[in-house]
Amino acid sequence: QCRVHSVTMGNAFSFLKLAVANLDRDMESNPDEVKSILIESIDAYIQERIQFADVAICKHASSKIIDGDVILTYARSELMEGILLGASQTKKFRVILVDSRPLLEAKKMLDTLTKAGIECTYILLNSLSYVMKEVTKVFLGASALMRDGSILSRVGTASVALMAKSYNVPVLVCCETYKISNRVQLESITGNELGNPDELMENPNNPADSEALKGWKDADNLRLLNLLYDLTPSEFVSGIVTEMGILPPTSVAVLLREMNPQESGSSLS
Amino acid sequence: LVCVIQRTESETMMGLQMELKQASEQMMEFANDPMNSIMLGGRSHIALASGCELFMKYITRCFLELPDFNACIAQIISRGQRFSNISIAARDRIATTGRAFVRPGATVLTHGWSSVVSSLLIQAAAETHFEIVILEGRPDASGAKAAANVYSKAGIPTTVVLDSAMAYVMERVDMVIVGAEGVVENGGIINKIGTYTMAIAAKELGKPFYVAAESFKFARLYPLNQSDLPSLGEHVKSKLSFVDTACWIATGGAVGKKPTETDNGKSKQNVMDGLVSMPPEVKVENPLCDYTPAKYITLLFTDLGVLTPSAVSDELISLYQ
Repeated sequence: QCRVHSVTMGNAFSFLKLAVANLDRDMESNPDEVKSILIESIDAYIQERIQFADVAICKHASSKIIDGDVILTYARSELMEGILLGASQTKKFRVILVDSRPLLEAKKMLDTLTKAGIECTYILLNSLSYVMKEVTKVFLGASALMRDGSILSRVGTASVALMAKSYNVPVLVCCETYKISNRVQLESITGNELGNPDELMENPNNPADSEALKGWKDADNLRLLNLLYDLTPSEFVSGIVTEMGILPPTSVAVLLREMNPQESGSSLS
Repeated sequence: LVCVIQRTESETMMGLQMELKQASEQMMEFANDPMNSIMLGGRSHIALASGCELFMKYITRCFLELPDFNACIAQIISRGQRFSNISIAARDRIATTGRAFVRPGATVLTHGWSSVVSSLLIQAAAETHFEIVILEGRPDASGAKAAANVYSKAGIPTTVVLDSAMAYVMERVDMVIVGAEGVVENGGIINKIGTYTMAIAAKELGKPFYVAAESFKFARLYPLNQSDLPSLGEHVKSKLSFVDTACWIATGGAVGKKPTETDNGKSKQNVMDGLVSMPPEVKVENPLCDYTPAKYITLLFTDLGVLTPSAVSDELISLYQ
């Protein structure tokens, strides 16, 4: 079973196709040189669009963190880890990590942050409404950024953003520009990835519960749906932190035009 | 800043940039100096900062093209002159585009003293008949002063109300026009305190909220909320005096007189004189500016044209590209 084609893979592949198309026709006779040029451009892509972009994003995001902040994050994003670790060296703040089954990704981030001496609180998504009133800022990661400013991210992100909006807490999404997609999605089901449904069945804390859903495959009217991504509408996002600076969600189309010209031209994605 | 360039002796681009940076920092310090900020009304330092930054970006763009430094300097000076002329002409351009929005017989609500807004309204008054409602504009009474000195002299029927009466009058106005200290990246504005309240009330009552601002006020700031604003003149902020004008009228102007000794030797406060003196335990907060998010703003009149708030970010990206 193959995984669904992700936006970032698509963007990287378009870049590669463009690089191949830009190659000199005369070089066809020399395959080694062609390969080394392509490898060089791939390395440059990784360095500029991913690694340097992450450094720039850390700088911009840290400028928004002040002493005494209570920052909420959801699940795990390496970029978020980098931002918080970097900011903790100059500022004093605490972090609330929100996690959700079945992946429980935030546990790893909890480990890293506490080892760095940052004061952390760990909750599951169910208790979000209790802690939200203490939160000063929400920082989220993204898998992809749609052209209208909506965010495709780990399932549960939309709920976090919605809750933050209703408590008037600013939501900042940290996302490199290579993740911008030409697509506009209206809801979360389109193009989503399905995880292993058996994971929903298991409850490691209470093995007796796992028995309850054991026969789900045989039951005619029971389906277990384990979605991995969801779409956060742009109204819930206060700002998007990219390597170009902090921008409003309405400007994503402008960024697409500037940074990924090969994406914005095509009508097929 | 153009004068600095003309007088520079540096031989390299980097040296020139250093000198310009120093000059703009000195201007910022001048603006932040306690005595001077009272003169400037403690307002303009955001516009100053963004204006300087844009100016430097604009002129240094050419240095990549010309290898010869002296030719470069000459070009920079001419570009600098052009920039300052554009900025002055911007106000007129805004007035020309904006005045069409003021329909005959309209009532316009405005706040504070903005040269852009007043030139817009005065130009509009030349062709249409409308009236203005303006808020008093405490603590510097900028609204009241504008009404007395500017709008009445231009012959526009003006009504001055208390700041707190803003929502009360909102139902009978047709539109709101304000200026801006700075326009931020998401299309929101930073302006005199009270603008945010006005925007919320306008949105609630369905009145269009227009902002008139020159493009040099576009700043690379992204406030998330009111506490995320750059700090402005701490010293001016905490001074606020409370006057009971009703008492003042009743007592025939006994404001500011020292409280007189009473029989048991204790001086009486806030009885005869209209000035209310605060005991030290009471904290007084006097923010000068507030941030109005983009969702409350209908349109911005700028010298780049009439923009929606989301277009501001587009313009900023191309200005700073």
